Amino acid sequence: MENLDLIFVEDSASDAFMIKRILKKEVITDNYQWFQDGEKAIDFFKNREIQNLSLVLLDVKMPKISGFDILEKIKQNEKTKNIPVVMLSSSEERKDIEQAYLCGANGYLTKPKQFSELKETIRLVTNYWLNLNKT
Amino acid sequence: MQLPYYQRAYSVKYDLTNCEEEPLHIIQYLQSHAVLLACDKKEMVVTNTTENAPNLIGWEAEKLIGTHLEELFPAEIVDRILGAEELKKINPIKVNFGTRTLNAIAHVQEDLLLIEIEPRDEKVSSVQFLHLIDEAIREVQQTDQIQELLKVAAREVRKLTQFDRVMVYQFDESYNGDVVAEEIALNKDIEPYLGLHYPMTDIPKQARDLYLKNRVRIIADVKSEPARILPSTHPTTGQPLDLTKSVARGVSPVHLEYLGNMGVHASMSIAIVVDESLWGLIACHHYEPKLIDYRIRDIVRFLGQIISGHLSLQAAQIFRRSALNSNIIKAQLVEQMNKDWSLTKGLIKGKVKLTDLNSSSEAAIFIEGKLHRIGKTITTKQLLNLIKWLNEQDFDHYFQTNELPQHYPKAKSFLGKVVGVLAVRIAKGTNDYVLWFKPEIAQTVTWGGKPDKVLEQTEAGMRMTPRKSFAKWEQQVEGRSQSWEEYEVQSALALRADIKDFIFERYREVKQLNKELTSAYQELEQFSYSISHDLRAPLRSIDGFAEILAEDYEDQLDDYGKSLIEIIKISAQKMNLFIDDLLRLAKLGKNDLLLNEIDIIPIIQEIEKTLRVGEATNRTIELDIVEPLPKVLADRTLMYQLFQNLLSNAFKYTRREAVAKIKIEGEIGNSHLIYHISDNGIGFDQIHAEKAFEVFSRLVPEDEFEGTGIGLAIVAKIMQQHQGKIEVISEMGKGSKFSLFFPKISSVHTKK
Repeated sequence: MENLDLIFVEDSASDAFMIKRILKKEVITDNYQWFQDGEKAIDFFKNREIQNLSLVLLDVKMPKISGFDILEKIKQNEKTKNIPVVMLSSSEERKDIEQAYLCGANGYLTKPKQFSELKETIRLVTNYWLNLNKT
Repeated sequence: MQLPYYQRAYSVKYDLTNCEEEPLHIIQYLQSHAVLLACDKKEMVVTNTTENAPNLIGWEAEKLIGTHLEELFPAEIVDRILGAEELKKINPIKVNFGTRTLNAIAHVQEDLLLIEIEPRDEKVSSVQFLHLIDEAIREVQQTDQIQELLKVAAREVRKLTQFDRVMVYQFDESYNGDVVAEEIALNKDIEPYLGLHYPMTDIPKQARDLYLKNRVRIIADVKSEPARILPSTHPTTGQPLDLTKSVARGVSPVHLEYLGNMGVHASMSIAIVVDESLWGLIACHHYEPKLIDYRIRDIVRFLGQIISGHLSLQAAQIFRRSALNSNIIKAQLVEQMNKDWSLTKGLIKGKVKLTDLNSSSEAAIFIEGKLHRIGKTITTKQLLNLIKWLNEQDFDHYFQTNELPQHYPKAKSFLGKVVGVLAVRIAKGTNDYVLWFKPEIAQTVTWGGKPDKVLEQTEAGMRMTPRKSFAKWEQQVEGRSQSWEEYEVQSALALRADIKDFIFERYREVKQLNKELTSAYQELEQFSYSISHDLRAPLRSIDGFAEILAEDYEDQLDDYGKSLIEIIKISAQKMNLFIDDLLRLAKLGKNDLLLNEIDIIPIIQEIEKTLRVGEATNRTIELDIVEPLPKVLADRTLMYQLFQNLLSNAFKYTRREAVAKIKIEGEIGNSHLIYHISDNGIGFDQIHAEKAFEVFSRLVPEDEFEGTGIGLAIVAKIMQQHQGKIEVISEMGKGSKFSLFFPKISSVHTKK
């Protein structure tokens, strides 16, 4: 049994590095897990009892398995369907946004172009799901 | 009192008002020089004869009827007639009656054997005459030049027959005759007929039909009383005797009168047949009675056949040569079409032209509602009206005439211009045509007498008589061109097939091109998707890690180091802008236009506000909207994007001016609604105007004026999507003026 605040799936190591740095620097949480491989993330959800998980951040465009696939697995499983999932995607395409919400996503954010904006985005979304939404 | 000949010539009631209906082959008379003996093929007992039998063969007509042939001829002759495979091979048979030696000419008509007995000319067997015959045949056979051949034929026929006049008659399409060769007796005062025309009614249709079956016709004495056939009907059927193949058949009263009016006493005609239709006649006239021995008639018939052969051969050669030539031209036209990839360019503007295909003087193509012409003697409107008329005509693939005004009365106004038309409908059910034209040939036709038959009042009522005057009569023929030859029609139809192929091929290729464009477009979409994802990720890293570097090593970096990091971040931002613009350009056209009537003034004002925010305060920018600006039917988002680009350019490139002047005007032209956006900025050389709208093209130094070089490409694309266009006039150092042309359909007047 693990006690995690946040899980994020991101195939780009640079992006993951930046996100981790923001989580740390902005003192958001140390209680997170990063998956670079989508399949491993799915395994993770399959095999464990998960409690208190506040948020899953999913990149959309990844090799082998997409963020939408992971989203569907989470939302179709009775045990995990209540975990909030926010997509963090580089696509601004309308169809991608629509698909995300159709699959049950709790939010959809486009990855900002600049680091400073990324910082702001991560801060806002984690603040909402990790702090405000909890109480 | 005996009735006149014209009233008793036929047994059937025949109204002489129309000689086209005259039943020539069942006339009840034979010419006076011949006696008829008709008998059943098997019985061989005479059933019919002629009233002149006593004069010629010394038998009373009444006695002849019921007499067996063997009582009239030696058994040997009867056997020859009975045993003959083909009677014409044994004709004429030399027979004797009393002291007279005569020719018997036999033929079979259905169940009857008809024997005609006529005088025999012993001179024909003389050595000199045989020489003459040899010579005539040799001469005619050896001449292959047609005009010369006809002359030689007339001369040789005259030598053999000694007719006062021998003419060669050529018929036109409607069987009017034209005297094309003539030989006349020099010692007599005879007026030449050479070059004269004779109307078709001179030789009516049923007479022409008889010429095809019985190629030589002699009328020995116009004035003599014809000999009545006794009885005049078929022994078993009771029908009039059929004299189709008779060699001495009685002459039509109208024709006798015709010859009499001409002063002709005897005549002989030899048919010239080409392709089973009557090409013409060798016509002989004599001003005294004249009978030509059957054997000589057979010789001239043979001469006629040789001429027919020459003419057929020549016609075939001309056809082949023209068709071959026409084929070569057609192949060249097709090559031009394919090379230029254009029907009209290939057929009208190439080195080889549509008019080269045949002997036309002008041509036109009417395709997809557009007219392309070679030669313009008639107006476009006249031609379009003709096409409209053609649309209403019922024909399969083509329509042709050499006298258009006869079919299309409006073409009377084409007189002196083009009156021959060959129109080919490109495909069934379409109104696309290829047309060829031939000019009018004004001609004076000299007729041998005014070509009318005259109604004459007689005791028996009105009757048609042939013309009495043969004095030359000139007629001005108008509204007629040269006729269209068979090869011309054939090559036009062949070209039509090629045009159809070409159109189909072009359609197929356009479809293919469309398919390729669609897939290219899909690739572009994929490409822009990749750009947004794959290019942006590393950019985010560049920016992110530069930021992290600045944060984490702030203490260890001097100002120079910090400024370098700043340059990395600015470059990444610039790259992001590029990507933004490229994505915007790629997205254009992906969505349907959302057309609304738009007032562009608020759009301009909103853009102006945002642009002014970033402006330096040390210069004045005058933005002048000349009201009223017409409203336009357009996509609001795209219009915002368009003016955003144009106005930001105007702001940017007037940066050097202390007072920037930007003006926006509108006007409504004939076909377009136009907006002009002008500035007093740096401008550019007009010769680069076209380039201004290309992607990544920049006409100004980059270090001074930032930008991606995509903005105007976006503007041009937006105009294109609105079925409009953009133009620019510019001058270095003076400024630029952009003009946006929207099609007028999408314009809405500001005035109500």
